[in-house]
Amino acid sequence: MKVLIDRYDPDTGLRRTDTFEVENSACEGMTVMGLLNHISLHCDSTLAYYHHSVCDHGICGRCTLSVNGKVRLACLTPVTGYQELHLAPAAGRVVIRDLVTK
Amino acid sequence: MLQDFGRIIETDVVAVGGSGAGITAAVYAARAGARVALVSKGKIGVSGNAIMAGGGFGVDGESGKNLLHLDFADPSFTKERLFDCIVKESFYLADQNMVRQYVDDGPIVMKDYLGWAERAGQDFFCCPPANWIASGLSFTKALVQGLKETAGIQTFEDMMIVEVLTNEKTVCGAVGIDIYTGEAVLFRTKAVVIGTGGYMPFSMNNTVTDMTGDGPAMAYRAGARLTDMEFILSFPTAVVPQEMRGSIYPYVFEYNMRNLKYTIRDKNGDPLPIPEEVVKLSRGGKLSKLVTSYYFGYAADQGLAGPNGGFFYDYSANSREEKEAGLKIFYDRFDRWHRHGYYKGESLATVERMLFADEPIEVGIGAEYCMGGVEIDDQMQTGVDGLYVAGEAGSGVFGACRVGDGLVEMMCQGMRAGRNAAAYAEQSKLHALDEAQSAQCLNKIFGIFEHRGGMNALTLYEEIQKACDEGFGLIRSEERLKKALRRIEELEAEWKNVTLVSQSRAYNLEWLGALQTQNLLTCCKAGILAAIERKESRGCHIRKDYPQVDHDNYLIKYVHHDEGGEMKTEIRRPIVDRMPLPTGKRENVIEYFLDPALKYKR
Repeated sequence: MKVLIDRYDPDTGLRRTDTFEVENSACEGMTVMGLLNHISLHCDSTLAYYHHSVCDHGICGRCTLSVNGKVRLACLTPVTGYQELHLAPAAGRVVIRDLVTK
Repeated sequence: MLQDFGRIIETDVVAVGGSGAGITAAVYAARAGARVALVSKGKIGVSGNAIMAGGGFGVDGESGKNLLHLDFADPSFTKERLFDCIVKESFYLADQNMVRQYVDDGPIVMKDYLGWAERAGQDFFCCPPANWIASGLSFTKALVQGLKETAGIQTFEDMMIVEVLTNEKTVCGAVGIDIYTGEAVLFRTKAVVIGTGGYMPFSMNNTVTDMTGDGPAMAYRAGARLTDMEFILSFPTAVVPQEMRGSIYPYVFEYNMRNLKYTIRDKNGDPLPIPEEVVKLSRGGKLSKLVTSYYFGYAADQGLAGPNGGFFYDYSANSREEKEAGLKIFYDRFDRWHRHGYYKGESLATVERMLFADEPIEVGIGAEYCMGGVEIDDQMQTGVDGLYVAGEAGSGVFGACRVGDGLVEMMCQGMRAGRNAAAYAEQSKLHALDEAQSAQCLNKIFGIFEHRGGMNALTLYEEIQKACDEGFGLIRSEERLKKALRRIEELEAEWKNVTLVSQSRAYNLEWLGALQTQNLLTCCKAGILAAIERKESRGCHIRKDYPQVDHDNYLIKYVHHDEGGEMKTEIRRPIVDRMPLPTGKRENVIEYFLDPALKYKR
């Protein structure tokens, strides 16, 4: 699966979009949150996504982001069935870093 | 040195933690007239483990009737019976003064709490003797109501307290990091209440993320002692559908849909050897957590687990109507908080389909709660002046196994800690900072950015979990525990040069991970050290090589403290109130409960 992630570095103000190729077998049964954990651990540990003190089951509602242009909770959105995913910070919020907004 | 702090906040009491213990401590400290700062790693009310709870909690029926005036209370479940249950469920390892405080103060704090819940519009399901079922989120909405109703509390969200500062074993401050900006914040305070929850050493949890034992480890570094760290409570947790991994629906089904019978089978389809009398004693109740851990653990140890590490719940003995009736009970209770067809935020469509199609549902075991933590007395004091601990971060009430309620624990201890911290602050002066210690703390926090060539912080976290999964899990043995300890010690050495790729201070998960793994390593080490020494089985500490519960030699607590950077472990007997400690041996942790001489009845 091809995963595009919009990045933002608050220290330099630079924006870019990174592309990650993740094995389909690694994505099976995964949510966007699981995919981000996978990318963070295996591809790019500098990735910022909402992951501190989160519930992972749609309770705390803090992991909002944009998945292929739609506002979603990362923990409730399965990645199964997607060929390509474009993850971006949720629109209308202040971007802190990468996918983290306030 | 002070210029390295982005902000300096002066206050009387810092309450740490955005869930039940922290909020309750803040409320009662402020009511007592203290200036309070409430600091939470996440957002107050939606971080911490109370939001994850299945939501059952209660007090004794006597207090339910006389103090809370509940029309559904059953006073025959007396205070003394609750006390008796908790001590026996703890395998007599509870400090009975702590159980006394829980039993006495639980109903008092609950009176306030029920008022907050009512004014927050939260509707709970009620049942005798004096129990409630809430959703985790509705439980914390009531807490937030209590916070709103209390003046004088300054709140700080998305801020991780990374160190408690002391001077001559007396609290003089706390250091926080703003997770969004990376700014270091100095709290100049007379007292600190730690209400940050426990530690989760394993990869399979049903808690919020980041349960890294920050509070216990900080308290330990500040001079407090840790105990009962070898006891981690786990229970049936989802592994399928895979998207729901970590959900507690399997246990919540069991707890609420008690009309449904089921057989738990291994990967070959054979039932797990759970005797009928054990099923009768435990199923549908909270003792089932230990029972399931025991039988799942042994079966997994024999290589009988399914592809996701779980076992298969077979509901085929129930008719369609019975299943519908079970789900109706479940939804009648939970639809007041969740969308119909959902549990918490997740759809149950797949689970329902499997249930009706008689497809076995694979269920794993996830860690929920740590009985151990900071050693405290019944005033929530730690031995470090000005440092108090409440809730799961502390220890003492539940000993080797919790069947009672963590939700009540965090509230009644939060209340006591908050009041005492305020009283202490009123009669003390603000102690001077130990400049060298503050500088050392800043050097630790920011020095991590200078490390080069070491293990990445996120990998380090994963390696800790792996070591604990392999050697410190449900069924333990000398050999595996010792291997886990060696690995934890290697990882402690790695931590000294833990390395970040990103040099940014803003929302840097690697940096956060580096700070947290130091805490997790301390807690894991304490737990594994005690687990090696405890050559018996007791509660959630189950040794394959020593299956017996050995009251003659091991009715003791392992207590850890820091001595010049070395962890020292001592032993002591639990504190006794009215129930004398038993002698003799029991065959295993299950037989312990079946022994008629125990006279155990919830």
